[in-house]
Amino acid sequence: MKKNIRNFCIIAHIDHGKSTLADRMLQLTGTISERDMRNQALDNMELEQERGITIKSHAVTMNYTAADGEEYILNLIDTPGHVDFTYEVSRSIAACEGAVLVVDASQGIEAQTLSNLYLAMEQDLEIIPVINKIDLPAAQPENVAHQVIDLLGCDDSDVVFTSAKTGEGVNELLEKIISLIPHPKGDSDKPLQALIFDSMYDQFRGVIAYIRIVNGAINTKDKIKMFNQDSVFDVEEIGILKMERVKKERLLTGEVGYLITGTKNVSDIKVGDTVTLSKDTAVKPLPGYQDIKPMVYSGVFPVDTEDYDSLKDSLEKLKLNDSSLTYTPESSTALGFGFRVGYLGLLHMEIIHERLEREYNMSVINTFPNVTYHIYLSGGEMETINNPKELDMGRNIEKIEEPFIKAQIITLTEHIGAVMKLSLERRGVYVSTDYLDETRVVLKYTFPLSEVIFDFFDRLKSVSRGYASFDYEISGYEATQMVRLDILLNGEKVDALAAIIHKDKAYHYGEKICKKLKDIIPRQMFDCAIQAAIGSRVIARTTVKALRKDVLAKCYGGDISRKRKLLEKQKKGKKKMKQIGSIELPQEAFLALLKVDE
Amino acid sequence: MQNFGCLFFSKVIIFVSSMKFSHIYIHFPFCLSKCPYCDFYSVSGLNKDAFSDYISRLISEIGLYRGMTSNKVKSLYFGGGTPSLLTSEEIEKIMQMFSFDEDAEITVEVNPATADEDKLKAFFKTGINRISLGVQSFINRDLRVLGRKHSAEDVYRTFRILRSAGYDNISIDLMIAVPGQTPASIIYNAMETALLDPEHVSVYILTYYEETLFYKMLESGRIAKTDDDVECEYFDLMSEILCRKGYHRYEVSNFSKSGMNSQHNLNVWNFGNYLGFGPSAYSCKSGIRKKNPDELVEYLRNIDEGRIHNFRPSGENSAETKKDFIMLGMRKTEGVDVREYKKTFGTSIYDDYGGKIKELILKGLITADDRFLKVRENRMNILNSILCEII
Repeated sequence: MKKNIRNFCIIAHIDHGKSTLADRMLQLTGTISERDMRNQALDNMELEQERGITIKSHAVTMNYTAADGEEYILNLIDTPGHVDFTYEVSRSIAACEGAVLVVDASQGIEAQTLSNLYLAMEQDLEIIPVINKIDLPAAQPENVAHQVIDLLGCDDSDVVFTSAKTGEGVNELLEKIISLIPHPKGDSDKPLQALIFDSMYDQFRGVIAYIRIVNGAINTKDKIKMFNQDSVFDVEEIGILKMERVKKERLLTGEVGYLITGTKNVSDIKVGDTVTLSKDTAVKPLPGYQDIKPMVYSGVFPVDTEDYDSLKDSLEKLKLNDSSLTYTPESSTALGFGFRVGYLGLLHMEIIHERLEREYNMSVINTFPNVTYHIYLSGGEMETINNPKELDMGRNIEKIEEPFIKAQIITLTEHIGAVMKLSLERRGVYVSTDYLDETRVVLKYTFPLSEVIFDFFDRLKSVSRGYASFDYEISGYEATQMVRLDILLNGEKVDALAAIIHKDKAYHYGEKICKKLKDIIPRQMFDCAIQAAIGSRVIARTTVKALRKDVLAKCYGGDISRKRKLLEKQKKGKKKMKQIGSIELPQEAFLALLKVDE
Repeated sequence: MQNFGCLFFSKVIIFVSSMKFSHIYIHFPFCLSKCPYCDFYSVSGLNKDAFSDYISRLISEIGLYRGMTSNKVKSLYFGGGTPSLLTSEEIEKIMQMFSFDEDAEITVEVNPATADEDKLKAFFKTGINRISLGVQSFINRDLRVLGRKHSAEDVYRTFRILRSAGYDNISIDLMIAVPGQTPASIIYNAMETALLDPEHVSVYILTYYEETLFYKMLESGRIAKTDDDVECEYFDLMSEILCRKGYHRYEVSNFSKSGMNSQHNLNVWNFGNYLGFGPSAYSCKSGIRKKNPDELVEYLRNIDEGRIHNFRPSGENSAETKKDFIMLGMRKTEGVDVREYKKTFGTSIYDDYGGKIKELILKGLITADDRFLKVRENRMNILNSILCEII
């Protein structure tokens, strides 16, 4: 059986057509009917469809009768394409024997494609290069194919040219997948070892694990256990993933499918864990995943303090679908009880924020994101902090270290100047320039991570007219001159608005943030002084003047209902504000720090 | 004894609900033309026949409520639209539907463009004793901007006629923050008003109500709204001059000579009962508000079917009613009558809202004693923010 199974993923940069290609495969293999076809069928989260990116990996099983007349099972494991989600990519890669590398025929290779490709090559996956969007007028399939061939050291004939949009070349690709990607190895006689490569939470069925059977087999009603857990579970249901879940009695070596044990406890099913049988137990787990380290932290607080428990609940459920999410309880004098949440990057943060609001109906306030700092005290001890308010500048601090990254930026030669200028603003240190071809270069830089976690990517896109791409890896910690900057409203420190920032940037930043807050804080019944301070030294100040006019001119018999509605609306708006001393602060104020450059 | 309060309270309610209406509003929804800032229900360009048909239906509507109106009506108010388009005969017919208290205040809104001497004199003979004159401005340029069909000269002429006809209670409506106005316009309008020496003045900051032409023009950038702060300065300027000339501000937008407050409108702010006739007119009894249909056709159908308002308490709970009481009472410069509140609801306003009230007193926004809870006069311009804190 397993010799007719092919497990593969698709690696691509955002917008290079991965989802459309997946859709075309689903159609060609009859997995999805024409009638049910909607664009990008695999991206079933509302947010994904809106943003046109795949956030969360999914899996789907397709049946395909190849040119050799044999029927094959193709398991496509979808991967996200953004820099924040490298971790999810590596998980998907671990469940596959091959990867389809999709490159846009008009765009060429991007930084992110490179790093995902390296991940796949490290795992010894068979790579099938695909030049997509050959139907576009701006397509340069030959040029791009050359870049790819240079990179992979492969043969001309290995490259497949497709247009996912028209379907051209997709059949050829399916044939290549069958002929080039090896069938799963693994021993069906060995005790069960299945890798949990993903999971999701279903409110009726509990936790649903996505598994890849590496050795042995799993049957309904088997008693199983997880290596990371002592408890024994019953297999309530197993099956494969078509457009819907399809129930099966058993899953065999090499197969990809789902597992439901009925547990509703999120922590029972850990992504990266190995499933085995409770009696005929495998000796050791499969190599799991490295525990992912969050790069960016921010405070997440419920707008209504009474929603703390439901926020906790929602985060727990989100973590089921997203094992890279970490959080610990945090309390703020300004915002009450909430969580310090760790993310893979800024996009990840935005997505978590939006998912909390859309899928869990939570109204949350997200505070200024920051990285983890190492604080060395004069006594020699080191503390790690990921929250500005933990940085006490009054203590004897020997030095503060912050994380640095090695970054590669791919851009057109004509934008090198602009990219370099931006990099300098972000405390970037130039390393090298490599030419991909006459028009495209790879610029290597080191940056403090804190300088790129917010809006760097957006800025990079805008200075390069959308062409530049960016990827990075953490290179280590280095000492820099960081200070804590506080924001005070009418003399009162707002802990949730504090930031850790480089000394040389503090004045400029302080001024900008005061100005920004002035625009955002609505006029209130009293004057509101906004100050930025380092320690007790005020470095910037503005004032929001007291409200002069807020009254309805006419209120006669016929106006009362309207007046009441108006007041209710005003009160509703007020409810969304955070009361800090005598000042009402709109939620945008906390986001303003993110957008200080706009 | 412990139950006494409760018993007393329920008696009050029964007493209130069996009380007859002694404040009446009559809406006349026709105008010569629609003013671009007005969002009252009105129809323009109709003929005399339509008016008289409307009057006969209005009279049948009043007839439906015959048993519910007091035989000592204290105020009757003809609002619009432009009720000065009515003839004195029509006014008389409507007034015959009621019997009045000897001190009753009977007001008609008059547009200076519609009133001739004979008509205003005839109005006076029917018993109309108060005129609300829609002046808006004494500057012709402002009047053109506002789309008014009268000139400043019409205002002076009409005012003279009113005085010679015998009216001793005249109110003038003024609009401030009309696009193009300057501080000089405000001073001029205040001084001209003072020279005419009416008994009452209403000063409205121009409001851009949704669905008005002005609102659309504002949205599309064809007119510029005066800045909020400047509007406030204009209002304060106007208010200061009027006060120096002997007027007293007794409500957010209303000024009067001693003892000349609008009885009809005070009743609304005092949470009194009133009955409204005509399309889109509101009625209110014990805090329960009812509205007639906006559309003329639907309104007329309701009358034909003999439908009348049912003031039995339904969705409105007492907490909401209390909020209305405060919202309206705070508009008066004397403030919310604390004893009236207790008489109406059986609980003390300080028991119901004590915490919030204390905070606002400490912030210097309101003052309170055992008689009145009121907004400090220099804070009246942010009444909505203050109300939001309380209710």
